[in-house]
Amino acid sequence: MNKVFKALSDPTRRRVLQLLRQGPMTAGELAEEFAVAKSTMSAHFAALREADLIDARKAGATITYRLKMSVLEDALLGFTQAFGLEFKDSMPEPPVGDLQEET
Amino acid sequence: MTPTRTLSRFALAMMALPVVLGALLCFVRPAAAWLWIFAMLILPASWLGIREAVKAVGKTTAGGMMIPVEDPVDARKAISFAMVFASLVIAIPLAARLADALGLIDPSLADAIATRWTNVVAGGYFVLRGNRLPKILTPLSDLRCAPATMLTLQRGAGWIFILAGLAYAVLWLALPVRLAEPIGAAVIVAGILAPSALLRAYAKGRLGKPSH
Repeated sequence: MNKVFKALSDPTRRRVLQLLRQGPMTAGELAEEFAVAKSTMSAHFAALREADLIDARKAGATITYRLKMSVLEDALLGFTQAFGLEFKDSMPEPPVGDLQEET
Repeated sequence: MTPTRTLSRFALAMMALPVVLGALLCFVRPAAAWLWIFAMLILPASWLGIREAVKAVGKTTAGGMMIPVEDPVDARKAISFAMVFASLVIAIPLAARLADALGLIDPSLADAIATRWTNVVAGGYFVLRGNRLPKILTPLSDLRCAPATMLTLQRGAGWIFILAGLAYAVLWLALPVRLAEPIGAAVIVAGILAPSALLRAYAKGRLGKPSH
């Protein structure tokens, strides 16, 4: 549960989850929505996957992400969105490098 | 040790609880030995049956549709989790009967524990399963569907399970047994059928528009 709290504490990761509410998106499509380096996005995706909040499907060089949240996690996301909660202790950044460039 | 292995071992340990209690009851109340033996063996037999079925088929059902189990670890966790609750549901009345037979508690209290608390635990199981239901239904996103509608359906199915489980537990705590039995049964049957009906309606194209 700690991983879930920490994953939801970051505004970028929360925004990723909000975008995935509209449907599955590729890593490239998600990265286009943010003005950050792809390696940073890769770390965010890894954190969300580690917390089991998203599901990744690889087809060739494309990774497609989709939402995989329990009812409680969904309610927590709404709660953190509404109140803008952030956790002080930062989560160690997961290893970078699992995001593949889309062809 | 991985969390899945720990849960699996805990489930096996919990399954031993009804076996021990049933064996003790066979000595204390031998007149109903067949009942205690049934209570002792039903879980290990179910566990072996489900395990073999999952291995053989490699698929599970949700909402009447066949869905591939993408992650065998998830399937093992779900089975272990269900076995822990099933062990509790059987062990609680057995423990109450044993305590009654040994003269530790009143027969009326044993009855109350055996009926009410067993059903409260069963309601708790529904709440916890309902919470994870959207995760289990995630592979449905692969179906030809409007993704936002699919997510709403997944969450809706989870909430229905949670509310049905909560209502069931509260009914068994608050109502007389003669009322809790029929009303609780109706609530839990509705809780099981409603998500299934929603998903079937969706599969028939009554809800949402295909996105591709």
